[in-house]
Amino acid sequence: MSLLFKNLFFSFVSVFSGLFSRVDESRERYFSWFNQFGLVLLLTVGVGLSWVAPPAGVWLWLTPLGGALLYGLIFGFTWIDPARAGSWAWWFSLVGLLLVGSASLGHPPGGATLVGGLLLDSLGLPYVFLTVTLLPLVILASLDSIRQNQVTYYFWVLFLGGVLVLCFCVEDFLVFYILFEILGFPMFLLIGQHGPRGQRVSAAYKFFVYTFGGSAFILPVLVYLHWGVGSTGVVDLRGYQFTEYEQALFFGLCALPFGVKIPVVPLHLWLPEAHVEAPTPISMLLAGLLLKTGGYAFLRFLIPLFPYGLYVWGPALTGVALFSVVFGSLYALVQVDIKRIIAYASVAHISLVLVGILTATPGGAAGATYLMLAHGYTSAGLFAGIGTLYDRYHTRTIRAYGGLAGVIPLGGVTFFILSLGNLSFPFTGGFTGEFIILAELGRSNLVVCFLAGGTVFLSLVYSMWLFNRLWWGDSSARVTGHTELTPPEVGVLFWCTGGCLLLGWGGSVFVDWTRECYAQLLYTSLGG
Amino acid sequence: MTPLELGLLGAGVLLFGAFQVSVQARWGATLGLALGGSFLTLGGGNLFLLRWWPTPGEAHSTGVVGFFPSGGSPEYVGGQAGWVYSGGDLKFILLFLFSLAGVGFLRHPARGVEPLLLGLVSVVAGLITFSVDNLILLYLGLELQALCLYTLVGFFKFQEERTDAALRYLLSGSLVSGFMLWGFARLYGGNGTFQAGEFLGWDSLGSAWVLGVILFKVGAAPFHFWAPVVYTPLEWGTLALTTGAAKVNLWYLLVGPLGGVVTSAWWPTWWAGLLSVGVGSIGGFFQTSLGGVLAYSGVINGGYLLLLSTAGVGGSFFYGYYLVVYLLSTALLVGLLSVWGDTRFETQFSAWGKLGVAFPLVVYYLTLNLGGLPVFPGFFAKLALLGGLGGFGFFLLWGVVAASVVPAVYYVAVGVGALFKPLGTEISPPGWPAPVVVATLVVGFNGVTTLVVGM
Repeated sequence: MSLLFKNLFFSFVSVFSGLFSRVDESRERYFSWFNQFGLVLLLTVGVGLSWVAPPAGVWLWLTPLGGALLYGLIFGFTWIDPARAGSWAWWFSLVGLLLVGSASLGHPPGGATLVGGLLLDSLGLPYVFLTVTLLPLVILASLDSIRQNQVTYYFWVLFLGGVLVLCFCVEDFLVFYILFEILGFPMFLLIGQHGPRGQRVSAAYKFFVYTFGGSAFILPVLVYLHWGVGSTGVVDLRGYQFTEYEQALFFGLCALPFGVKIPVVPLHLWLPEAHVEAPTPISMLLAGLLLKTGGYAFLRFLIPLFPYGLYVWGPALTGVALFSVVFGSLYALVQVDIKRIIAYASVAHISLVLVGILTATPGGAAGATYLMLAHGYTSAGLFAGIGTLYDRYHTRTIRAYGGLAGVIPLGGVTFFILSLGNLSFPFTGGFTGEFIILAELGRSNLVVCFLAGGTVFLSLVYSMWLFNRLWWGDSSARVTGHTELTPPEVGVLFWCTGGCLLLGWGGSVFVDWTRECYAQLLYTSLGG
Repeated sequence: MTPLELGLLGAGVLLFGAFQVSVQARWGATLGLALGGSFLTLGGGNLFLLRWWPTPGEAHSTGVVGFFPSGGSPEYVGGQAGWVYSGGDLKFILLFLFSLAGVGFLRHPARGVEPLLLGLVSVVAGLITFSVDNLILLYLGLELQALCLYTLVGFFKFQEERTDAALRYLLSGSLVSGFMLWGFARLYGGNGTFQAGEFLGWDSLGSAWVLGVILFKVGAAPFHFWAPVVYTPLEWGTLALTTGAAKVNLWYLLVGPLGGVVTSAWWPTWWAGLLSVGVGSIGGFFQTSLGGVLAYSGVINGGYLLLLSTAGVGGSFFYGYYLVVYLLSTALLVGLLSVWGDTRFETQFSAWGKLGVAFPLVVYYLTLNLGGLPVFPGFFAKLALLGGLGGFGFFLLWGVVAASVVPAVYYVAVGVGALFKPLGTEISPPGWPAPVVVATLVVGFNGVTTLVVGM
């Protein structure tokens, strides 16, 4: 089965790369023999790797971060034209995709490997895969929209990707926290320097204050573990007998910074601002990847290490998450800015993920992971779609649009499918994830299940309302010019749409893998 | 006075006091003194950061979150504080600060060489206090150091703000000089000797007076009131000396010859530490000049160090590591920011972007480092700090971390100015004879000699 997945994966890459090579032909600044040669080389290496057992050494997983540093060195110490920064970054991200993507798919399901401080299992590797598949999209979406300080921009994007890969692999809680915090610094720069609007600095500052403020709660716990218990490795800590008091205290403290990152209401205030002020590709990165670190931390660290804390805080946190689901959905309904709608939809969806995680059942955890993956592709695609509109018409106010389907038909189709994914329509990834979570909730508490399920109805309302206002009806005076999607935009939107649909069809294989992993993890942690 | 201190002073007086010497020669002499002095101070090269690298503590066995005052009570300390380390690293920082300040002074040759000489004398006076444990010599060394700094602060007598700052500094400094005399007199009366190493006991009241002096000189609460007022109008050279060089030896004395003060006046020290952490974290948030930010940064970091000093020998290792990282980070930031002639950042910070991409990014790095954010040395210093304070219980630990978040926010405000604000003034690159270059040279030289000597 894994071979099937690999072949599918590389077929996808080749189609996608072919799209990009068309860009080279149509635009001189992208065109170079390097791209053509690199494409052939990369596909050869990738296909070869998919048949040979992928290298499992720790260096492989450091490739994206090493690549980012190499990229910085190349552009820092050579005289390569900075206008080529995007093209180089694209190839660097593709190398990371092929190496790390194939290795994460090739990892045996159900088994956990501890190598050089990295814990490779079905819990973290789906997120690694998501990271390396979304990173090229972020770069591709940036090629047309980022015009200034390109070298630093692409360096930070690659750096973020490298850190995220490690973030989803590391075994040590302290190292995870360090990587988790590091994510904030490049984001701060990317929002503050490259945001298209006037409030970008205050949005970046708010992002920084919220994300770093949370560390006030987690750092004392880690210090206590490091200096008191003597280890911060999750394998060691799972064997340590924490008292009930310690577990409750530590779970409660650590839940706050991860709750900020998810984000749940009322810790969400940074997210709409950051999305609105960030350039579109950075919104893709933020919604598609960074928000996942919070949910992942609950699954990897908090629940297995402090299970009694879940018992103490679980009901209250579930209440907060349910409130966030309803609040986020209702708030999405009343927004006038397109990005804000997707931002609040993210709050609702990821809060539902938290509800699933807090069930502490293999099904709930597997559903939550699935929904996070689906949300990664769907939200990134929706943000990319918004970016295509903003690049053309320079506004994100809904009422300025209308009748886009006649102007950008291909964009309309992809946006429609992604909207279906956002409202969890059957045969999209969102449906599978939400269905599993709601089924698990229904087994224990129908009221909670009903409240959480409210998001399905509300997301239908705001997604279709948004789609209707943008794409159908009479054409607005602003959108009469016919400007179909450019090849990079086609690449980004098709990739995200494809991911959303593939997840809708291939759920059972994936869910079985992760469910087995979570069963092993949770049943050994939550005795009885 | 050791041969090193004597040599430094003599060479400095000769070089800086001689007439008809060009600015370039004086610049070279300043750098040479700093490089040579730091090389000798560290015994031929020593990358101090490696020496203070933290190691995990022993596993706890109780399974309890920790309880106050385990590991931090006066009984636990039991007079063992003191003479924990030689202070070689701190002497290096003193000389490093002198090089920064000296080159800062030399950027304005029309102001004469007197600030350079005064700076050198204050640094050598500080170095002397590392070498003695005689209370009279300590008093003289500290007073000589302080007198030079009072003069430096008020040196530009036509600037009203600086004259005002110098008067406040002098008057309050004179008051604590009296504290010191009174405290030393009580300690002498109780022991019959001026040698701190021969003391049989440390009188509590006398220790408390001496503690007051230390709190004042390092700018810790509740005697921090002078620091923002004095720092704000200063130019970068004098700022480097007052924020760093005026404190380095005091921090050494607190765990060195005067370590008994902490043992004897444990509770006042502990409360002063806690108060400083609170005051520093809140006060810094409202500052509008870099001088003010650095003053409150000194208050909160002083609070951490005071708390660490009360942890006794268990905290000494962390104390040294935290102190070195904090002082060096501050010095590097001051060196970097000294491209400008003024410390008011409201109008000046926005111009940094003009210097290219790297410059604001380095400022950003240094501010994150001072804020103790991962994965910079400041973060590991904070980890070390928290490791040292572990004995005080989990909730104090939590409070300290929470308080440390606020300075991180206002440090980053400096970075925001450097990175994002539109250009307000025309500036030109600093040129190679700038403090920032000296900072790079001195630290780089230290690293190279470490490698050479180590191999």
